[in-house]
Amino acid sequence: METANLSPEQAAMQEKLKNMSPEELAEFQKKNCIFCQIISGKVQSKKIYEDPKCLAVLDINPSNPGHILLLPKEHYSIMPQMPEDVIGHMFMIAKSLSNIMLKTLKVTGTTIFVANGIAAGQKAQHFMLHVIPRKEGDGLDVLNIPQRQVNENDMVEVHKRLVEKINQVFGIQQEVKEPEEHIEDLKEVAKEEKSAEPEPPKEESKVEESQPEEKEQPAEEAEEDDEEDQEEEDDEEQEDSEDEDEEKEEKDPNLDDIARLLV
Amino acid sequence: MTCVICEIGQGNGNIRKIFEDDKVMAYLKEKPCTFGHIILATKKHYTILEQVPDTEIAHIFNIANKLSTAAFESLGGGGTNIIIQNGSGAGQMHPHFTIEIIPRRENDGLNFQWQPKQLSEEEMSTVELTLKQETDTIAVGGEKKKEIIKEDDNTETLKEKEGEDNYLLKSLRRIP
Repeated sequence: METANLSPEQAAMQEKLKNMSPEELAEFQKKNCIFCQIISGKVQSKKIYEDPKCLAVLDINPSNPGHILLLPKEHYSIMPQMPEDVIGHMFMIAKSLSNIMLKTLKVTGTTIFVANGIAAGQKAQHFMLHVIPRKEGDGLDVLNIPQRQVNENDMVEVHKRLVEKINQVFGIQQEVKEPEEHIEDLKEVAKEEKSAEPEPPKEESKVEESQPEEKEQPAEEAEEDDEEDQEEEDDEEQEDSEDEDEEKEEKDPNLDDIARLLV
Repeated sequence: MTCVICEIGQGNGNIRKIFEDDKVMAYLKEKPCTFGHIILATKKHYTILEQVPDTEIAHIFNIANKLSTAAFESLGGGGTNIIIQNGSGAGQMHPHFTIEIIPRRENDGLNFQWQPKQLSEEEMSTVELTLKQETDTIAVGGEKKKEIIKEDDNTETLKEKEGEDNYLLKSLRRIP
C-alpha cells in the first residue's frame, strides 16, 4: 500500500493520524484535502455534475479540453477503501459522462483512468476517476499502454501468486478441485448446513490454507472504514480465528453463495 | 465469431485465466507492461463502455477493484492503475470492452503522466457549458435521476422545493 512510499515527514504524519479517533481522522482529512474543500464549496471549481454521492468537475490542468475529475463526496484515499455501492455508482456516472463526451465534444474515444497509490502516479489524497475525452493525434500517447516481452517462467510465477491471492480475496478454495469424492463430500456438507448448524472443520490442513481468506472477507465489509480500522479488525480476527473456522466450513463449499455475496 | 476476446471467453485461445464468473473473465496479458498486468473482459460482446448495461457496471467494477487489491497485495507493488481505453481515439486495440489493471512499483519504467494543456478561460467555459447542458438533460429524463431521487435525503428534496417555490413566487410577482 502507500505507506511504503512515504517520506519521513509523511511517516510522522501517519503516526499522528494513528492516534486519532475515526471521527477526528475524518475531520482532519477533510480539512486538509483540497478536493474535500472543492466538494464543500470552499474552493471554487467548474462543476459538471453533482449528486448526493459524487461530484464531477473540470480538471484545472486538463490533459485534453473536457478532462473531468469524478470525485466521491466522502473522503477515500484509494479505491479499496470505497464501499461497493459507491464504486458501482461512480462508474455508472463515469459511463454517462463518457457518453456525453462522445456526443458533444466530437471525440472518437474516452480514457477512464484510475491511479491507486503514489507509485501509480496518484497525486492527491482523495480518490478520483479521470474521464478524458480522446481523439487520434491528441498528443496523449503517454496514456497508451506499452507491451513488453517477458520471461515465460516469470509469467508462470506471477500467475500462480495472483490466482492464490484472488482465490483468497473472492473466497474461492482451489484445493477442493483435486479428488472428486471430496467434492461430493463437500456438497453434502453444504446441503446439511443449509438446514443445520455448521459442522466443525473436517481437515486441519484445509483450515490452515483458508485462514488468510477469512481475513479478506471482513476487510471487504470494512472497506468504508479507514485503514486504521482495518488494522484493528485484523487484530480482532486473529483473536477470533477459532470461531471463524466454523464460518469457513459454512461458506467455502458453496461457491454460489459467495458469488451472490459479491454482487 | 471473429472477436479475439469472445473466442477467449468461449474457452478457445491459450491464456492464463485468473478469475471467471458468469459475467466476466480476467486473464494475464500475453505482453504485459508490468508483471501482473490483468485484462478484465465482459463475457458478452460489448464494443465500448457505453454499451455495457447499467445493471452490469457495478458488478464489473467491483470485480476490478478486488482484482486490483489482490494484485498489489500478492505482487508487493506500490499501487495500481485501472485504465479503460474506450474507442479508437483512446487507443482501444480490440473491439471488445476491457478494463486493464496494472500493478505498479516505484521506478517500473512506466509513466502515464500527461502534460497539462494550457486552455484559455474561454475555452474552459465553453467546454464546461457544453458538458453541463448534457448532464442536466440526462439527469432529468434518464433512469439515473430516478435513482438519485431515491437516494436523496429529505433535506435535499425540501431545499429543491423551496427553490421552486421561490422561483414560482418571483414569476408571479413579475406577471403584473
